[in-house]
Amino acid sequence: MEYHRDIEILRNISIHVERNSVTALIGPNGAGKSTLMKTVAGILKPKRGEIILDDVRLDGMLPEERVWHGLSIVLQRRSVFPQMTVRENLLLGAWKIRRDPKLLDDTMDEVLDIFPDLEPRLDDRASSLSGGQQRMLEIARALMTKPKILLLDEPSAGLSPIMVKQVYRHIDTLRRLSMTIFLVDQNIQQCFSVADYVYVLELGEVKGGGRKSELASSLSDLIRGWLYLEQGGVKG
Amino acid sequence: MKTRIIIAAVLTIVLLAIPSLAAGNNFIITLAFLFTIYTTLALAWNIVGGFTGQLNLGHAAFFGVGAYILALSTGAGFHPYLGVAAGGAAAVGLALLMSPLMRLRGDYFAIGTLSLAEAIKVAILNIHAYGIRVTPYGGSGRVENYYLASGLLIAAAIVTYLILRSKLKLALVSIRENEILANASGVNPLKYKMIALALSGVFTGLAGGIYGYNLLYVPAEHVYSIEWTIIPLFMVLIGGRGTLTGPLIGSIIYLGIYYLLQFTITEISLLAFGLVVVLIVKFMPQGLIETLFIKTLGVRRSSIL
Amino acid sequence: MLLAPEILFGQLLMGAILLGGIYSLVTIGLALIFGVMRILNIAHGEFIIFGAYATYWISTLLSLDPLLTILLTIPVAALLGYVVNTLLIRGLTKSFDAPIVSSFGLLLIMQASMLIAWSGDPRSIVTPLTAESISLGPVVVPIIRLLAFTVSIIALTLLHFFLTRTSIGRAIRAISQDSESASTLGIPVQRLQTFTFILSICLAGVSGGLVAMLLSFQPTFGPEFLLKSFVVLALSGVGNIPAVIAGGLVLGIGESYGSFFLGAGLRNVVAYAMLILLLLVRPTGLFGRRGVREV
Repeated sequence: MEYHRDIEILRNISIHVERNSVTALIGPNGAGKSTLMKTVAGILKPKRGEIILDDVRLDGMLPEERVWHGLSIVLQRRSVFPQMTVRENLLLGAWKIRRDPKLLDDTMDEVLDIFPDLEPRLDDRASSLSGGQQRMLEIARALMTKPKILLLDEPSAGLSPIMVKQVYRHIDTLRRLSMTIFLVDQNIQQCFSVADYVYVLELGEVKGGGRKSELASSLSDLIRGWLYLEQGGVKG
Repeated sequence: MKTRIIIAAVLTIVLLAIPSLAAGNNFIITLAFLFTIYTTLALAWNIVGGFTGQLNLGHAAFFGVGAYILALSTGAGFHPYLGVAAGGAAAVGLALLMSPLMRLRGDYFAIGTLSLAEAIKVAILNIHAYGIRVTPYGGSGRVENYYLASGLLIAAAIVTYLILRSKLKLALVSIRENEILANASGVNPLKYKMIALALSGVFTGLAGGIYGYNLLYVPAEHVYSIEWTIIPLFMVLIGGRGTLTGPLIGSIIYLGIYYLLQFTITEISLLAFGLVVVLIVKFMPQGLIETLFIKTLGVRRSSIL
Repeated sequence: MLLAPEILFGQLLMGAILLGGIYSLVTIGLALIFGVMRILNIAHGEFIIFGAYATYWISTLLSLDPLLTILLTIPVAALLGYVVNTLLIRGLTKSFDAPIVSSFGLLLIMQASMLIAWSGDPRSIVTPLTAESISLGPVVVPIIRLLAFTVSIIALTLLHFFLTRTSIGRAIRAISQDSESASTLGIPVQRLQTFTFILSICLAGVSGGLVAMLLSFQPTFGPEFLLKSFVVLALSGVGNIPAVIAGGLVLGIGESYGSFFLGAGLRNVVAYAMLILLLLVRPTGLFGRRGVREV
């Protein structure tokens, strides 16, 4: 996808992601959620702005450099390395820690504990996995980078409802393990249920945010409006 | 608008006046002849390489085929003008034969056309290792041939101009920019690429025929040589793709470089051309015309002729 | 009897295999650059010829055995690769064919430079082994060809292990499949692409050194090797090394048997015909994966 230079997709964005919690960004179709994620990850360049992780300014860095500072993203599109095995995919995620074999093994074990379904498929080609399993592999692989913060760009995209539930069950596991997660998704229900903090993005601007518990009532009207659109409108 | 017509008229007059200005100096007439041929080839290549964005590295095949068929026709007793026309037709035939290649993506198309041209050259070399003689038709000399070539160049320029003003240009450019999108918008890429290739072929084939006739001799190694692809490509690259003025300016610049190299193609000139290509791609990828006009004069891209 | 089985299935086949192995090495550099950087290096043939000259001059001036000289050719090729990459490849405009046109300019520069430096006279490396052959049963094998084949296979095998068993090799393969994904895992995409480029030039240089021992060469021979590489690439796709070896063998067989039955003059036409047929039938190669990443 190419973004036209002359159209501003995002404006006045100010989001704070709290450590050891799940921050969700919700918004209707075309609000700019994926654009924001890609910008934070370094795939897209913003005209202005700062991205700060633990007092380090990440803006201006290439995506690969940001990984070294602890930022990892799972892209919206299918991004497994199709010709490689599941194991190789995971090993590639471990690029950052490859020089420490013990750490690598331990991390691999931890990740496979969270995603036990991947274990029997370790020597299978990634392209032979189902859509949902590939998504799990992508998250597992991102975890191999030992990130301080994990960005999830529409984890439910292209998945059947059963698979979506499974993926979110795993995201919930990560939440319970105190991972810092920043998440955007079309699927407001799931996204909302797993979040601790919620921000709202509409037409490229942040329209408010904070602790989920505090926002619940004002949000529900907004969301009801979107859900109405979602049921009648085009599915994302 | 008026300025454009005046410029075009002036250029045409200069073009046609050269033989008289040269007053019998064969070297100048031959040089001018060569240049009209090169420029015609550049304009022809531009239709496929510039407008449609497909890198045809087998352009020389059209040229060679045109020259070859011309030689065979005169050998069979046909009038040279008929032979030239046959050459043009044969080139179009070749373009149609190349249609399966048009389905290929950019890089693969480049490889495919390059190898096809090389294959044809080698095959012909096997049949006629030393080339074929052209049977001259009494009475036509260098000057007549020059006028013929100039006429072809003017025709090519007019056709390019007409393309620029037509829906064809939109179709071709849309394929260049994003073929998938173009297809989805109702533009059949295969059909339009074929049209572009056929147009490119006909002008190049006709030029080949005229060239062969002027030379009175058609050696395969020469007329199928890659220089008939490289030089037009070079002209279009420098001057700018997908415009009318681009190849023309590129041609004049090439003439300038050629002059500086004292009209000989040696290793040093190859080196110079290579350096220019690399520098242009690095610093002026759009070609001289677009870069100059857009960056310095602030002209809009769509209004460049 | 010219069509006796020893000839058909012995001599010709042996020649085809030996040729094929060398073609595979000739191609692998082009395949790597194309796979990892999506750039078709049209100057590929020139780097091979450069390797031939480098080996020729080093072994002549230092009176070294050519096979050992090939080891010295590697750093020379690496240096050239580094310079070319820095000046030309990095920071190339992302326009649809800037890389191809640029490498085409590079082709002109290199060929012209070699013509100026070393003239168009044919050269070849002659060693005490050049005219020697050994007999394997009814088949006669020139030793120098056998050596060149062995070196090729060893180099290709080492490369294969590098790509499949090391983490850097794995990262390079990842970049060739999905460079954006790779960067999100912290893999230094640009640095590894540079590394791959230099590696490819070294491989081209080594194959050039072998070529120098097998036939006489001139600065203008580059494009012919380029086109042979295209054929192998079209046969194998950019998937993996075993595929490239298979592709090389197919070309070797096609050329050996083709020139035997059709005459030596048409030897290259067989190659070109194969290429065009392949491009029409299967642009991503017979063994390689389907669908190069578009858009």
